[in-house]
Amino acid sequence: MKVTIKEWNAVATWHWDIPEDEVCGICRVQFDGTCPTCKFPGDDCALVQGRCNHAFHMHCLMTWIDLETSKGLCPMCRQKFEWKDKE
Amino acid sequence: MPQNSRGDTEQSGKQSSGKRKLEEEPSRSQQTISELLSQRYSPDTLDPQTNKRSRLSSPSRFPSTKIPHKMHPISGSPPRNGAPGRGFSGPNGPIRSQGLNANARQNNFSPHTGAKRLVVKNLRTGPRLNQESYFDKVWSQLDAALTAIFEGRKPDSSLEELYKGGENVCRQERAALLAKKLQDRCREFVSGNMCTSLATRAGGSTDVRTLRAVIDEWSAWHSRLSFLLHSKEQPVIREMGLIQFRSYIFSDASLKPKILKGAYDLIEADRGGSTKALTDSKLLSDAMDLFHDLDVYGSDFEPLFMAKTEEFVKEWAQQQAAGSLAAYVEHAHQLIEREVERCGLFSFNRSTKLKLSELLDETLVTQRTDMLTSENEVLGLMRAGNKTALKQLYGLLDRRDLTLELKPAFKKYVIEEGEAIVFDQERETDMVVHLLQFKQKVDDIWTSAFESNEELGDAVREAFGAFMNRGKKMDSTGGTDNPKSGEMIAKYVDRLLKGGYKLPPGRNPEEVSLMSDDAELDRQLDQVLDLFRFVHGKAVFEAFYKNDLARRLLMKRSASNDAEKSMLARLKNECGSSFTHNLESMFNDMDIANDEMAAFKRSQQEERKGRFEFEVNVLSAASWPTYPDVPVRIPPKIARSINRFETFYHNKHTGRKLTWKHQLAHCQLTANFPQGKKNLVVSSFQAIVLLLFNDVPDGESMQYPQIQEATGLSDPELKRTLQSLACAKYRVLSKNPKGKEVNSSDQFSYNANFSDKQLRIKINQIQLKETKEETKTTHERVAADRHFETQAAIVRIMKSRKTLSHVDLIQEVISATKNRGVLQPPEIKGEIEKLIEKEYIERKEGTNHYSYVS
Ligand SMILES: [Zn+2]
Ligand SMILES: [Zn+2]
Ligand SMILES: [Zn+2]
Repeated sequence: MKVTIKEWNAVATWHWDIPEDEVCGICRVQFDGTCPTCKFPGDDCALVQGRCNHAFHMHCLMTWIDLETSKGLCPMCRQKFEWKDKE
Repeated sequence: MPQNSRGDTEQSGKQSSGKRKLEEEPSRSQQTISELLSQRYSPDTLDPQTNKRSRLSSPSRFPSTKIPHKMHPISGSPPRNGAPGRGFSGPNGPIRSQGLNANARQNNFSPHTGAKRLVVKNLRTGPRLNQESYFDKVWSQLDAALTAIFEGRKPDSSLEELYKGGENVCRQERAALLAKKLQDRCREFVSGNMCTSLATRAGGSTDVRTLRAVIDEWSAWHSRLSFLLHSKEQPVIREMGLIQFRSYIFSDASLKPKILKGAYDLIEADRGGSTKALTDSKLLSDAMDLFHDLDVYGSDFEPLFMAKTEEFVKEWAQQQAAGSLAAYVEHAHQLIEREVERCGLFSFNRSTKLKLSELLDETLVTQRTDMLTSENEVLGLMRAGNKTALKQLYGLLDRRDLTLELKPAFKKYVIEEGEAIVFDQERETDMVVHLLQFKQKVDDIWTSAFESNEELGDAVREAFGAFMNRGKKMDSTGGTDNPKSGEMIAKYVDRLLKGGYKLPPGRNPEEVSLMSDDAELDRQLDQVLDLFRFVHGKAVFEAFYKNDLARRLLMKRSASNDAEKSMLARLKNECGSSFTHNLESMFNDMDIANDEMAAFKRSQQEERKGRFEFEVNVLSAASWPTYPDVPVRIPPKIARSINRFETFYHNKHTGRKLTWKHQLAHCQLTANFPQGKKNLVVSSFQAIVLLLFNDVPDGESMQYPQIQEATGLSDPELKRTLQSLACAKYRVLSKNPKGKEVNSSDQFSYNANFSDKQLRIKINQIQLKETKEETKTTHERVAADRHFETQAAIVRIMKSRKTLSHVDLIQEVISATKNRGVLQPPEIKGEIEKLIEKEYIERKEGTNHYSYVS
């Protein structure tokens, strides 16, 4: 018998490359879910990580930083929030 | 006119007064006679068109104090009944005595007080002697004519002559005397010949026959009266004749009971009673006319009718109540229908209808409420689906606003039947079909028998809400007590959306074929959604729906994308957007995948030449069901494609991790068999096993352990896969030794003899066992989620309230979690205990209060 592949339909799942149990420090939703304002997870509802290594939904963090009371600090560790550079 | 005639009458009244016997006919009557002869009745008591007393007038309206009063002198005092000297009540004796009102009489005229004086005006004088002899001559002519008329002959003198004579006498102002003589003559006849003859005949005859004779006599008497004098005063004459007939015939002690009983006998015969009288509707109708004419309907007929009818209905109900409820309501329904119909047919008065209706309601419904609402009996009708009886039962209870009494039985019935369906494990796969049929049956009862009564509609909803959310610990729910309904509804919808809807019961195929498939599918989705609304906790449904939707999307099993989207819209509408959030995300992933693949293929143009089609669906993990990682060794060719895709994907989306779910992959292979080339549609595991045989020389085989080593599949996965390839419908592999089950000592070889008519062959996985397992784990997961959510809710509540009593805590937890399904207090109590063990909360010593441990 000679069997040849004509078509292969593969399936994969994606999630953010951070520990699974972690939740956004602001909205408390798991990172694989979206921030409260977005409908679908993905690049449109991206994550950000600070130098302090705390991660948030980008939308959640933007809303936070816009608040005067935030004074530009990370809501988790109260250090100045700075974007972690991609290597 | 009244002014003028008033003068005449007063004068003539005075002239005749001297010839009266005062003690018998008081002098006040003189004026009244004349009045009667010279003016018509007030229109409210006599209909000028028919000269009949209006039948619509209620009995109490009749003696409007005028008529009996006025008529009194004309009718004369009946010698038998009216005792002389008994005053005013005498003349009307037994008939109208109750209708007469002494006050009213006095208001009208008060002879004893002498308040009214007679005034003589415009007195004519003439030779009295001549007048008297003329009068005698005219009267003897009239008298002879009357005799002839009473005997049913034609008078000898011409009518014109008689009329002239009468007119002349009246001109000579002797009208009153003439009237008096006429009246006496008539009375003599009625109380004499007519009465004696009727009474004699009645002696040995039945009541019905007597009634008939009286009616005949009345109609003869009536026509003679009109023949006699159809002058403008005719109504007065007619009235006189009527009162005489009433006084001497109807009120006769021997005739009256027979007349009334005769009429009732006819009704009894019509009811099918034991009387020997035959139903004679003409006679009954004539009898009613007679009673109305004589104005004794309200005073005499109705009381007798009602008394007798009450006896009859009571006895009827007594007898019928001994039988079944179905028979009782049917017969009661018929009885009421016939009684009401008879009232209309024979012009019974409105008051009779009302009294009769009241009597029927009271006797047949109110006094039998216990029987009519007996839960067992009513349940019996429902179980038997006896819509006719239920409709009649509802109709009866509705007469007394008692329909609500049906609610407990109706609810109980629906719950009983519903539970039988929900817990029928043998026919579990058809649960939703049976529920739909049952719902239709119940709705049918509700609309056709219970007139879509709102409260009874509530009973249906409450009952469905109750039984559909009942669960018990079963093997098929993984030992949880999750209700089955959510799972079965999800699976039913899955079947519909895969295009597998069946003809609904009671619809013929032609009718359906006229509709488009989409419209029919829509209709069926609507139906099942009606059931879905009764499911309180949507978690079970959601879990199964998501599993099934995932499979439909990944395996491209949906019959129609429009139908999928319309179902999604329905769910969103029912449960809100947070419920469908993940489902929408799943659809979104499928849409993204298309664009993603187009981009991938563009980037791979060089490498792609001469290769197989490689497609990838990337799912966002959070939105889809959780799939385990199943280890398998991927053929190098596939692995290379996978690697290329990963590179592409990571370049495009940073910060993401891909996990391959090979158990979800499916593929198409081309297989060359000696008897022909076939396209095989298989799962990735099936493909991986088949590809191994490319390297096995013809006639040689592979040992089970070799295959396992090469594929890396676990025993259950490998056995299931080999079974589907070598032991099922399409055996592209041969197993040695043969058999249905796969053992680890078996050998496998490629089946050179394989042939099939079709070019494209889909080799199904052996799924049954897997599905069962998956069902169990899904139930377990839902239950676990619920435990987790319940605990989370308890902690949340305790954290904010610090201390709470047991009862308050349970209440708050129920309301906080009701969107996910109603929790039972024991279940919550269990979770509280677990949290106490884990030291999240503690019980306050000696109280039923808890406090939060921070
Ligand atoms: Zn967030
Ligand atoms: Zn967002
Ligand atoms: Zn931080």
